[in-house]
Amino acid sequence: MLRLGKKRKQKMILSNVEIHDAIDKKRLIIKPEPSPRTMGVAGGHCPYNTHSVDLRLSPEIVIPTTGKFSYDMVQAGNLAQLIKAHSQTLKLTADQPFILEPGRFVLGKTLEWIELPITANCEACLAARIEGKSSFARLGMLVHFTAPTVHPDFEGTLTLEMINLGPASIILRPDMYIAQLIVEEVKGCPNRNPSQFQGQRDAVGVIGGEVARAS
Amino acid sequence: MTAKLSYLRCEATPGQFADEVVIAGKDHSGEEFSLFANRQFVETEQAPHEESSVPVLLRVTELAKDGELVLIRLPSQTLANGQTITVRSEELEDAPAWQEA
Repeated sequence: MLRLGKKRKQKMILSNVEIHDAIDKKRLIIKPEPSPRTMGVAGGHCPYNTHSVDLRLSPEIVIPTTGKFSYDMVQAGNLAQLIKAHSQTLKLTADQPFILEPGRFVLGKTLEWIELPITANCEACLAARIEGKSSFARLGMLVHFTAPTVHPDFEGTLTLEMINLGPASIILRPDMYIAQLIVEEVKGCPNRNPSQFQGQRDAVGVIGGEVARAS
Repeated sequence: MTAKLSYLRCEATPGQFADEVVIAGKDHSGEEFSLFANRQFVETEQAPHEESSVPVLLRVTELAKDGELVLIRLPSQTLANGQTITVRSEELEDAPAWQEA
């Protein structure tokens, strides 16, 4: 098997075998770890596809509420609190799933906690992308429709913006496989801050009138 | 400058999900910012509750420093201004005070 030498250094999407290796080496942390790693003869669901790993839906979903207000993303103040105040959180159970009606938008999150650590020597740093699954796409459901990139150094669960664009209701159950994570190697060692300045207002992310650099 | 772990003084209330909080803080110019952060990144003596905000220390990474101004990376994106902001050094602590005793 030709995996060594120059070919090995290419940066690309990780296969399921490479995802297992990254998990074993703590370059990719997924808690709880998806299992089983391979399909047994007894069948069942193996969360690892050829180059992705399926993630499950957390029991909690957040339902934005309607009202006579608008969100202004450039306003000063506690916007997060305003968003929180106009939302309702539900905890799903196997017996009480959530019925996502056509046209309805809710927030969910992955059951799994994801970490993509940047190691001290910055060797083989990983990034990832969260994507929906084709089965939900056929029903007209978007599982995650904005900013799919999971940056190096990320720690946390992944928030899912779910909307049903299809004609029929879709039942959301806790622990159901809802999304897939595609993992890829990053070429070079990332500076920890530069991209996060983009799109910011002048007063933020700026020191002495110039964009600061970590060194 | 090597990235350094630090703690930013903020206020917190419960978030949308059970394991997150709403964080409110101020940047170097006094402008308020807010974000949703996992509770794992927050140190506090009392659990955030709905009635009023509680003081917390938010785990951040220092990226650069210039006098009293410190560029930090927050554990998640602010709602309006990305993940990196500049704060005054007096708002940062090396470690939660209640862990030092």
